[in-house]
Amino acid sequence: MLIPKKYQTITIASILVFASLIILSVSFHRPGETGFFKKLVLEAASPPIRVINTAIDTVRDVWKHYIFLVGLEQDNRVLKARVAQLTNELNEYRERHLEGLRLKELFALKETLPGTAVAARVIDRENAYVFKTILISKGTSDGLRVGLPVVSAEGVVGRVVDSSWNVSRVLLITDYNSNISAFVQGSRVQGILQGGGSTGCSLKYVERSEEVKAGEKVITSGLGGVFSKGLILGTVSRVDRRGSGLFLNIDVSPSVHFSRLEEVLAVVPGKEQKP
Amino acid sequence: MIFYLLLPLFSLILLVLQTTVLSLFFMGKMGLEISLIIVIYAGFRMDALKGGVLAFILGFFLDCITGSVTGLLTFYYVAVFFVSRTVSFKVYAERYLFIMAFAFLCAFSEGLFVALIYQVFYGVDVFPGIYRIFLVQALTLSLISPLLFTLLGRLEGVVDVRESQ
Repeated sequence: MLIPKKYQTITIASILVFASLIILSVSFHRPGETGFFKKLVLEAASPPIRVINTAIDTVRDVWKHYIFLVGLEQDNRVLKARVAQLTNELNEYRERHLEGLRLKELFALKETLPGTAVAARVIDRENAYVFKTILISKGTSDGLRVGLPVVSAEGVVGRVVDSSWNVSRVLLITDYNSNISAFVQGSRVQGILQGGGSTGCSLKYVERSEEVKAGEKVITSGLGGVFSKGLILGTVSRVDRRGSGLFLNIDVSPSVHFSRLEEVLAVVPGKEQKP
Repeated sequence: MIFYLLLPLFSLILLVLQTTVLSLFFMGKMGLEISLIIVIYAGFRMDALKGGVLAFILGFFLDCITGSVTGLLTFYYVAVFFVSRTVSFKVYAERYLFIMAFAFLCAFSEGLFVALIYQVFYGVDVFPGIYRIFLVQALTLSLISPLLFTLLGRLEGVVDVRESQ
């Protein structure tokens, strides 16, 4: 170099410091301007910066997405469990509400019945073609005994045919062995309501000369001593006047939907009453 | 000669990595100014011309990339280089503790210098808001400075061998 070695450092330092101060001074005096060399550096630096930042953003996005998915899966699991729990609770409340409504109807009926009504839950159904019975949750320890009438808010269910201490079997009015003295509410025509199995019931021994129409209510007559008078048994669904017999063929649809029956009332007569 | 030809390229790569990748480690809240350690290293180990040009280029590029006042870091880096060089003649500058202390001083002074310039020329008092960042940044840099010195020493060894070949 032309500069003596002794002064090299101080010379270089002076030049570089001077140059940097000039740059600094220029940038202070022209704050809005971008110099040529600055533009050059920015142009050169921007592609790699862009590439690196894009790569970083991609990695960050993938990571965030992964973390998000992990969180989402956990949230989903928790929410699903919560939904299942709430659905169960909702069903339980709905059941309680419906049960409340049914019991309300049942107790309204209880007020109208003679004697003491014992509420019982249906715990089993025998729904074979011939045998139509249900098992209820009350027995002799609750005052139930064979022969007692069993009703629901919809109408007559049947009568107790077997009774143990805590459960009783009820013969439904649709069973072939069920015979109940009844009359048609409008025309007051009397007959015997006989169970017909799966087809429902039929009103027997009504003379052909009697006027019976479909849609009329069939109620208990109170004869026979089991059922008190005026309890609804069903509705006349068909009256057949064909054939040469003495009596009409009258089909009756029971008012009680036995497949949906859940609570019943067994009517225990008072001391002066006889079942 | 090859040193001066490759210097801008390496400086650019280093500063791009410094401003993008390294700032990730601190969630973008502060940077890890490895370029300053390189300037200190140059002050301790390199001759005036090579080191001076290196400090000038690094400072200028950093000014351009970070968007600071152009010439601010150029001046500071050149100043740090010559101060480091002067100090290296006066004291034994190979001990890690000294390197760490000197790196801390330079890094923290840089923060003070920038804050002072902004205060004097722009009337903006940035120091109260960011002095903690300066402090943490200076501490972090001083802690990693021995490692960087070792790495740079090895790199310089490789370059010297190639140049001699």
